[in-house]
Amino acid sequence: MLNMIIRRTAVALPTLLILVIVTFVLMHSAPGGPFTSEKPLPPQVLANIEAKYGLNEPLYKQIFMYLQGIVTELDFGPSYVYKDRTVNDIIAQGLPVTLTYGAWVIVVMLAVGVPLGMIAAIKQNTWIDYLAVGFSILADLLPNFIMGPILILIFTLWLGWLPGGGWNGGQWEYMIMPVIALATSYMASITRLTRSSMLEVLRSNFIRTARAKGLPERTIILRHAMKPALMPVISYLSPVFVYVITGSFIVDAIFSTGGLGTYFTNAAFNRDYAVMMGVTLLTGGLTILFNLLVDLLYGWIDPQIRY
Amino acid sequence: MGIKNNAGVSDGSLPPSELGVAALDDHTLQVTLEKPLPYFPLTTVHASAFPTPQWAIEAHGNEWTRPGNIVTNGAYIMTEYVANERSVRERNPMYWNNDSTIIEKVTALVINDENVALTRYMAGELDQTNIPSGQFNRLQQSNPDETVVVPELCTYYYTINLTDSGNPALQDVRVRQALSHAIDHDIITKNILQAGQKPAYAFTPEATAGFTPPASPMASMTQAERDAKAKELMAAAGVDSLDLELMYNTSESHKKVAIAISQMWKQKLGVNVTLSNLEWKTYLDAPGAQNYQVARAGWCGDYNEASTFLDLLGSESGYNDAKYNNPKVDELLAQAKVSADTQPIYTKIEQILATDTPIIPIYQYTANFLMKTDVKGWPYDNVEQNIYSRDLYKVAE
Repeated sequence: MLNMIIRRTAVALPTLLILVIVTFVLMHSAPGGPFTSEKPLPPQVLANIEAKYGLNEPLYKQIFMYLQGIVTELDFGPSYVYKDRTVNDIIAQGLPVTLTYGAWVIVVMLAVGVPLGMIAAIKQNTWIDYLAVGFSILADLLPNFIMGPILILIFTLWLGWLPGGGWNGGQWEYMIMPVIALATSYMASITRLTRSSMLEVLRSNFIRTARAKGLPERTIILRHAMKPALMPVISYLSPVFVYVITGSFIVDAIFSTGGLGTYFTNAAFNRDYAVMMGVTLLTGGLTILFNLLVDLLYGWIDPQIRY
Repeated sequence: MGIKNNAGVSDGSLPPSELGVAALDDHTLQVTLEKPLPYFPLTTVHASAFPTPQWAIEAHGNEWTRPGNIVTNGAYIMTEYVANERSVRERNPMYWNNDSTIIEKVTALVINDENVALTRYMAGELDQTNIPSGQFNRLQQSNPDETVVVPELCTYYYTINLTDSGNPALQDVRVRQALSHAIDHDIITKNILQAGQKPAYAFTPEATAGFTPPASPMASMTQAERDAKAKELMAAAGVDSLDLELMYNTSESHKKVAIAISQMWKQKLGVNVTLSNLEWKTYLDAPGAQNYQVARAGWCGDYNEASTFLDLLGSESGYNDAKYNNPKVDELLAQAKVSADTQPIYTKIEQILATDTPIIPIYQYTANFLMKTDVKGWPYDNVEQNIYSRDLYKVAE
């Protein structure tokens, strides 16, 4: 296992390096720059500003300086748009927000999706099953960018129960709608995934054996069927994590939560190079880390899997 | 702003001490100008002219704009700033006229989606918000007392590349005039934008103080007359087929206007228009480098005087994307800078522009917003949209 962690880390570093170089080159090849504006700066002033941020250096040197900053001082550079903030400041403000609602999204998704799928499988072809399947199909039709405005319409405008957006330091009433909007459609997928994998497990030989032994149904499901039935759900968690990050673009835009998602789009529009690099690198790193965690979880649940 | 030695100090050839600005004592600021500028006081309301203490910047470096560090002299102090979420201002007890400030705390929320902002306004979370495009008519009917439309000091226009990198046919003034005549301004304002905008036949908007733009000959014609004139002009220029590229920055509203105008040109003049939309930063590069044929543009006055618009078409102006160069216009612009009565000079410039057509004015912007009826003191006639919370108050209803 330790071997595997070391191996994966060794692969991760060059991956991230390639990510940095590709993003850097793509970003700089887009026309315009952080300081192009409707009212252009006098050439001399522009040259001074670019020199201050090292933007006048050749690209390879800029990449090198950027990497050097990260490796030696963990400094991801300054923002060219939010001039009183560094990228580290921006991440320190946005990441906790994204991680907070992101964690709740995963919790809600699993806490609702898995039991619903289990019950539907156990009570296959009863009204409970039909209800759960119907619900999951309905939820699947509601991606976050549709759920968001609908929730605001219902809970803010009609019922007046919840604030229509903002974060306000992460109070629970500000979190409910973003979490539901982001969780709904993936919760539906988890329900269906759990249901079909549970059905398959319940028909397998070892369950039949357990039943023949006369074990109570409860023990069969909790002790024998649940673990294997959850395998596909766990492998599904890495795309879910990426989805939470990408979904945060939409949630941040609709609910003004101020998470990292906003910076992906804004930094690209503003050519705020260092912020763009910072969030890309962070997401890349987290994705690699999360994939690793999921693989470790795999090995823990199914001892047959060896790394 | 015409401050003495500004150019030299900006490009580094002169030391900052040579700039024509000096503090004579604690309460007197002396500004020396390159040459007399009658409207200079008007330019001082622009945010870039607000005072900033040097010591605060030196003490805090890049972080001088953060709450707690920033030093301002207004009626409010910024107390909280969460990027992309909110900023909060609270009463400044040290403000010279603090007794007249009524509202204690003003919160500005960042809401990316205008329709979400509208819903939150309707739910009572906001006192004031912009109206999303296309919603103005509906809101004016459903919430007439809260729907506000006021003129803004801005003009929406199409600029025409007059250099060799543009379309050669556009070098002919008759072709440019034909394109201008064929645009039905009323369809754009009444049927497409539908939010109180006025058609523009001059570059300077009517809201500008101290100058009434002359009635352009085109303004008094009916659209049928304009169309006939446009066809005549096109025929006189000997152009029977023309392919044009029309560039605009990505936006639903620019797209609608561009589609309508390209249709008008196509139907009336047989001009084939290719629409090209560019993302904002990309778009900013193209017209400035004369890398276009016809491009959408907009200009808002930095101060309330016609020169903030007309100077743009001076041959030396950095914003003159058309690369329009008329020595007569340059001469008149220079004259206006030192003249006490600018009306006849600006009138003459507008008349020359209407004939030369380096740009096609399309409409005059309006500011549309919703505001709760208990908010009072809003400066509706401030066309520059310089709004100070210190002027506002709320009444019990």
